[in-house]
Amino acid sequence: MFRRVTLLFVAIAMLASACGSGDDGEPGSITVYSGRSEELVAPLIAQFEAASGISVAVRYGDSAELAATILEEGDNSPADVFFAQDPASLGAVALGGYFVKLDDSLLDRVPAGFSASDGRWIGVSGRARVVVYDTGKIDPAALPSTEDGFTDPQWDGRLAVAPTNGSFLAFVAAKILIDGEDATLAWLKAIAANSSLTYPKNSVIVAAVDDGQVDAGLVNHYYLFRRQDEVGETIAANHFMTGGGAGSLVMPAGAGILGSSKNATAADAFISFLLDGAAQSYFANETFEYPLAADVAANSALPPLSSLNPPQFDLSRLAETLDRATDLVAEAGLL
Amino acid sequence: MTLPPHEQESPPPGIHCHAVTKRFGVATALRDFELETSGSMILSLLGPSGCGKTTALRIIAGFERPDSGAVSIGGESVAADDVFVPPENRKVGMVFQDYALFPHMTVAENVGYGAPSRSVEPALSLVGLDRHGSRMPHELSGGEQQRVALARALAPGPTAVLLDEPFSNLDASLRDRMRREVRHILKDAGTTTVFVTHDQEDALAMADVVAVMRTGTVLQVATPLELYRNPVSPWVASFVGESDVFAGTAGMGSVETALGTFPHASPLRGEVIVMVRPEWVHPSPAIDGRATVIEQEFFGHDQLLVLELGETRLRSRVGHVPGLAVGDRVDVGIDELVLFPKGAA
Amino acid sequence: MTSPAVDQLAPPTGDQAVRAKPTATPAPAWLWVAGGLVVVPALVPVLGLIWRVAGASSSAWETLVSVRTAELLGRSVLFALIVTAAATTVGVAAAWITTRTDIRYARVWSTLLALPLVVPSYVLALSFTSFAGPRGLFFDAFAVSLPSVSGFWGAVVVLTLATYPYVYLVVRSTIVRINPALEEAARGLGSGPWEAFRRITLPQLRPSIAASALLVALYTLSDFGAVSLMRLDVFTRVIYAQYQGRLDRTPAAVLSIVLMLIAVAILWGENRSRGRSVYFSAHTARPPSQLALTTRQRRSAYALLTATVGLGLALPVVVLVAWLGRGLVSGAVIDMRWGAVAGSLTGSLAAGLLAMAAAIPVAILTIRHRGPASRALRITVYAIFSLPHIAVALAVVFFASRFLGGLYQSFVLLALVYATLFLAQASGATEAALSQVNPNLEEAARGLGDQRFRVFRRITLPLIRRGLLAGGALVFLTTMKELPATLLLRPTGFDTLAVRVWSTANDLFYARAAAPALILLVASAVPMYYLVIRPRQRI
Repeated sequence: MFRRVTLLFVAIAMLASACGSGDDGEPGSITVYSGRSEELVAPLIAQFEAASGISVAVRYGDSAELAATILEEGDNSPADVFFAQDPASLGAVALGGYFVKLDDSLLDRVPAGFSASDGRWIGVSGRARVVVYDTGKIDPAALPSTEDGFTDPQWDGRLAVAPTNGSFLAFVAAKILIDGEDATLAWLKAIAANSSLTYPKNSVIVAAVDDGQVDAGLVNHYYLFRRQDEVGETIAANHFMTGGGAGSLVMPAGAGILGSSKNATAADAFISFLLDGAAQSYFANETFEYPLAADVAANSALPPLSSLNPPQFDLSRLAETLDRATDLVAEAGLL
Repeated sequence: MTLPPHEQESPPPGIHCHAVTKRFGVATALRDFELETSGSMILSLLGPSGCGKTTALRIIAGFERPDSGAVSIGGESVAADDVFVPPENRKVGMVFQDYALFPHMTVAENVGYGAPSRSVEPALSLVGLDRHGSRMPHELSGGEQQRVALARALAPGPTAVLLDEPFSNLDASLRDRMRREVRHILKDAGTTTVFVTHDQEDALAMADVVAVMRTGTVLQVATPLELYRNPVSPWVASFVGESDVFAGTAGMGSVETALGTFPHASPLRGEVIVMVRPEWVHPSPAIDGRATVIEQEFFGHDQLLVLELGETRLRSRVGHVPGLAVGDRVDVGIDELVLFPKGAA
Repeated sequence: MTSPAVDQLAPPTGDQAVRAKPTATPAPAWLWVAGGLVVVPALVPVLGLIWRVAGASSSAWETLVSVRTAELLGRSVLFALIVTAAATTVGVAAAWITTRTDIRYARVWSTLLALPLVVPSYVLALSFTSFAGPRGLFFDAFAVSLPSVSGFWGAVVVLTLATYPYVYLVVRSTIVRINPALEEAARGLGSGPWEAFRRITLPQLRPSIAASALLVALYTLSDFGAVSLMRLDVFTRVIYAQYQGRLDRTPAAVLSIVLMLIAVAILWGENRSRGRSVYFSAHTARPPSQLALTTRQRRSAYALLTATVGLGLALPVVVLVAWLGRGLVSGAVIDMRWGAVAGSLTGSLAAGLLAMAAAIPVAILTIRHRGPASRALRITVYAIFSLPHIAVALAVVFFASRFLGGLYQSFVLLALVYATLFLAQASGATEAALSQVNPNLEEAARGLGDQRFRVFRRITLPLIRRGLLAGGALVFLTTMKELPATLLLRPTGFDTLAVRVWSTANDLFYARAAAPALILLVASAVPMYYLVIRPRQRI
C-alpha cells in the first residue's frame, strides 16, 4: 500500500507541475492579479502577450479578496500588476502603500475623474450603476432618476440590492462622499424599511429580474448584456439614473503597479496596452463597458458616457470610506 | 412469574405447521414442511446447515411469511393463505443463536422489554441470574448471556419458545451443563419448545422428540431412542450417531451377510442394506475369524476397533477384550441391526 | 448492498463487546511527533486569526457586539439546528428504507441517494432559483410557474439536500451492520416494527448519527454560497461582507473566531455523547430480513426517495443541461478546459492522500490514547473544518508569503491546505475503523515480538484500510467542490472545475458554467462509485 501511495504522489506532482505554469521571475514576464474574470480578459491578455512578447501569468479571483491577498502578502507579493473591477479594491491596495505612482504618460490618457488623484492607479474601462427592471411590470418613465426615488413606499418589497457585494458597498461609499453620512444612513434605512430583497451579487439580481422573481435591482450595467448573450431577448432592461447622484456613478475598473514588482517596465507596457485602441474597443464591444481612452466610442447599445451625468468626486477616497460604508449598511440592518 | 399451568388431561395444543412451503428466489427452503408439538414438549429440528430448519423457525416466529401452507400456535392460526399475524402478536419467545441481547440495555431492561416489570425477577431467578439485573450484556459470560436470552424469551409468558442453535456459541464443557439447565428451565416453565440444531448430541440430549430434516423436508419424527434404534434411512442413520452399512440378503427372520447370518424382525426380503451401530458390534478373537482388526483406538472406558472383511469396514465400540490387538482375526457378533431396501439412501 | 468502505464511515455498533478501552501504555514519541506535525498546518490559520483578533481595535469588537450580529448568530445556530434535524431525518429514513424494506431497485436507489454529495451546494441553490419562480426554467418549459424557493425554508431545503448524504452514508453502513436479530427479538417480544426501530435500532445508531450530524451542523454553519443565494441573512454573510467592504481584515477575523467557538461548543457536546457510548464491533451472521411494506407505506417511501433524489440530483442536472442547451442555441461558445479537469483531479487526489496520511496519527491518538492532549488535537482538526475557507486562506497567505518562500502559491501548499481543511472527514472515518480493531490483536502481535511500528504496518493498517480509504474519498469529493482557498492559494495558472463554474457563473455565463459543473458531477461521481458504493456490493 505504501509503495502504491508513493507512486501516486509522484504521478500527481508531475501532473500538477504540468498544470501550473512556472514562468515567474523570467525577464520579460509579469504576474497579474486579476479581479476581472478570465472569461472577459483572457483573450485580451493573449493579445498582449502576442504583441509584446512579454509572458503574463494571471491569477484570477475576486477583486476584494485579491486586494486582501496583496495586503496579507505585503512586500512579498509576487504580483506586478493588480487589475481590479472596482476603485475600492484598487484604493485598498493604494492605501496600504503597495502601489507605485504611475507615469504621467499613462495617466494623461484617461480623463482625470477615472483615476486615483495621486496617480497610484488608473481606470481603464467604465461601469455604470443602473437599475435593472422588469419591462413587463414597470414603465421606464416611472423609474426614478436618482437612487433616492426608491425610498418611496411604492417600491416596498420590489427592489433587489446586493449589500455584501463590493460594488454595492463602493456605491454606498460614493454616496457618503457625495451626500454625507447622515443622508446615506437615512437612505439605507429607508431601503431596508422598504423590505428590499438582498441578493449575494449583481449577476444573481439580473437573473432574478429577468426570471420575474423581483421587479428591479441596483446593479452594474453590463450584466444584462451577458444575459442577452445567453438567452437572446431579455425581459429585463437597464435604466440609467441620470440625476447626478451616487446612482449615476460610473466606476472604473482599473489597474496599478505594485512597488514590489521586479519588472516595472513590462508592467507599464501591460497597462499601456490596456489603454490602446484595440483593448479599448474590446472593452466597448466584448464586455460592453465604457472605454475611457483612445477616443473609442461606447457600444451603440449603450447611451454615450457624456449623457450619464456621473457625479464628480475624488474616486481615490472611495477605499478609505469603505469601512464607514460597511458600518452604515450594517447599522441600517442590511447586513 | 405467570406461566400457564399444564396439568390438564389432554395436553394443550402447541405449534402446528402444515404443508408449509417457502421459496427464496429459485431456491426452495421448505417443501411441504410438517411439524406438531403439544403440552410442554421439547421438539428438536435437527438437520445439516442449509436444510431449512432456521427458515422453519423464522416462519413459526413470524419473521418470514410462508408461500403456502398453514401455521397455528396454541390452536390459533397465525399464518395461512389469508392470515398473517405479525411476530409481535404471536406470543412466541425466541432465543437467537447469538442471543441478540440489546447492547444498550441492562440485563433487567432486556428481560423486561416485553414483560411487566414484576415478571423480571422471577424470570431471572428461573435462570439463576437473580443478582445480575443491573449488569450490561457485554459484562456477562457466554453461558450467562444465553440464560438472559432465555429469561427474556420466557418473561412475557409465551405460548411457545423457539431456540435457534442455542448451544453453538458455547464451549464443550459449558455446553453439556447448559443442555441440562436449559431443559430443566423449559420443563419448569412448561411451554412447548422448538429448537433448531445441527448437532445430534444437542438433539438427543435435550429433546423429547426429534424431527430430522433434509433439503426442506422432515424425514423422520421420533423420540431420541427410537430415532437412534430405528432410523428411516441410511442417511438419517449416519446423520444421527455413528453407523456402518454393508450388503446382505434378507430371508424370513434372518439376514445373510459376508460377516455371517444374523436374526432380524424386518418385513424386508431379498437384497438389503444392513446398518449397525459400533456399540452393536462385538468382535471375539478367533484364529480362523472372518474379519481382521486394522485399527484400535483406546478411550479408557471403551475402545473403538475398525474391522475389515474384504471391501467392508465396520467399527465396533466395546469394552476391554482380553488379548485383542491390531492384526488379529476375529469373529463378529451383532446385537441389533436395521435393514434398508437395496439402493436406499 | 453494503460496502466495507462505507461501513468504516460509521462509528461501530453491534452486539459483541470489544473492550476498546484506551490502552494504559503511553503513546510512543513518534506518534506525538506525527500528531504534532499534522496539527501545525491547522494551527497556523487558527493562531493567525487569534493573533489578529488579540490585536483588534475596539471598533472591530463593536462589529461583534452590535445587536444585528447577535440576531444573525442566533439565526445561524437555529438554521444549523433545523438543517441538522432535517438532514438527519432524511438521511436515516433513506438509509432505513434502502436497507430494511423490500422496496424495488434498492441498489439503484442506494447509489442515487449518495450522489447529491457531489453537487456543490451553490450549484444546487442556483438551480433552485433558476428552476422555480414566475419565469424560471419550469415556466419556460411548461408555461406554468412554480413559487420561488427562497428565504429560511428555501435555504433549509437546499442545505438539507446538500448535507443529508453525510448522514445517509454513515447511518446506512451502521444499519446494515446492526445484528438484525435484535429487531426481530424485539418484534418477538411484542413490539411493532416502528417501536422496534425506535427502541432498539435508533439507540444503536446514536453514535453514527451524532458523528454525521456534527459534519452537517459544521457545514451548514460555515456555508455562505447556497445560503446567500437563498437570500437568507446568516452569520457567514456578515463575515463575507467584512472581507468585501473593509480594508481591515480584523473584524472578519473576530467574527470567524466566533463561528469557530460555536463549532468548538458543538464539538464539546458531541464529545460528551460519544464519551458515554460503548464501542462495539459487529459481526453479522446473515442479511437483515426485509420488512414487507404495505401499499401505502410503499408509496410514502417512494415519494420520499423520489423527492430527495429528484430535488438533490435530478433538478440540478436538468437545470445544468437546460443552461447548456439554451447557451448552445444562442450561439455561446463552450470551450472545454481539460486543464481544469486535471487540476481538480490532481488537487483532490493529493488532498485525499495527504488527509489519509494525516488521519492515521489523529485516529490512533484519539482512540488508543485518550486524554487532554489527544482531545485538543481532535478539536483543532474539527475547528478548522468549521472556519470560513476565505479566513483560513488569507491567514495562510500571510504566513506562507513571508516564511515559506517558494512553497507559497505552490501545488504542495494548496494540497496541504485542502487536506487540513477537510482532515476531520478522513480522521472521523479512520477513528470509526480503528475503534473496531480489538487492541488485543495489536498486543498479540507485540507479544509475538514485533516492534510497535511494524505491528501498526502489519496488523492495524490492513484492518483500518477501508475506513482510511473511505475517509480519503470524502476528502476527495469535498475538495472537488472547494473554491475560496483554491482561488487564493493555487499556483498561478492552476485551474479547477469549481473555479471554472464560479468564474463563469459569476459573470452570468450560465451556459459556460454548465459544462464544467456537469463534468464536476461526473468526475466526482465516478470515483465515489468505485471508492464508496461499489466495493463488494451486497445486502
